[in-house]
Amino acid sequence: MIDALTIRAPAASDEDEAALERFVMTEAQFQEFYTATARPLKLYLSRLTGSQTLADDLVQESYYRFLRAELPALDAAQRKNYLFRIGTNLSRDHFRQSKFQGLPLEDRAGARNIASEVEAASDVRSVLNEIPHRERELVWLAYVEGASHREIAEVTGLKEASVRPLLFRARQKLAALIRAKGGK
Amino acid sequence: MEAMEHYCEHEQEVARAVRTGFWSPELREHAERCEACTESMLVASWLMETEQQAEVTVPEAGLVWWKAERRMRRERVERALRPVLIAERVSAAAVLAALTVSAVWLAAATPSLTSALAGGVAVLAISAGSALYVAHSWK
Repeated sequence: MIDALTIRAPAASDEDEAALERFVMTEAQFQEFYTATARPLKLYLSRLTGSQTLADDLVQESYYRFLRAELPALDAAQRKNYLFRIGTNLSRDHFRQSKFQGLPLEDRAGARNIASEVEAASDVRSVLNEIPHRERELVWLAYVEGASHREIAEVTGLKEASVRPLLFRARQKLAALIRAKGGK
Repeated sequence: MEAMEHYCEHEQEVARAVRTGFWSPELREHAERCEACTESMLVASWLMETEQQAEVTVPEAGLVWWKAERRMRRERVERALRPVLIAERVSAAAVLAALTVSAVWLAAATPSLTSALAGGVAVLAISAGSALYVAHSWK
């Protein structure tokens, strides 16, 4: 379970210090993991943030944090969930920070973009930006990544029982937006 | 008034069917008459369509790995230098405290006002010089 995972604590001895200098996997293992996860992660983060550039930075940071984390034995799906959890948290941090600093949010800027307005009916960003960040996480994970409610709970940090009603509301809003924009 | 929440136990199956393209006749029939599943089908189809159309470029795995290694090395150096920086700050604080005590002592022990002023100026100059040196070395 992801909840059981812990990020490595600060080193207390020379031995711990040496352990800190290693990544969680070898370069060959990383290549395989990266090939399987990079595209979905980048797409997920670019949909959450509304910015490709920001998504690039968050992807790099997510992999770095993943590589430096202390992980128990995980299967491929759990590793992917853990990576997505890191990305989700980074995206939320960025969202909160932008709001706190009163800076224009990347995704709001995206929504105001003229080109986006012209292509409003078909532009994913302009539709997704109309629902809150957390709802974007839920619908993307459920309908694109095919995550179960348990996996969504692991990635988003929500309780499994809360996923269903929240996902329902997110889906309802998104469906209304798609219909309003003439999606179907 | 808020609409009543309507769930269906087949929603996830419907979403999976949209993703994989594999529909059993029963599921298809159910999805067409179930409000929740129809909505799931709409959202899933729209998201999948946008996902498939998206042009996503990601850097090579080797580049991401190289950047991670470089950052790990940089952090290692920063960690190694941290005790040195702390020692520098502690030394600077000790020097300033000693100089302050010396200035007080000098002013009290010297009867001549001129000598006291000269001593004070000298101590201040040394303090300022030390502070500047330490501030520069921190950069």
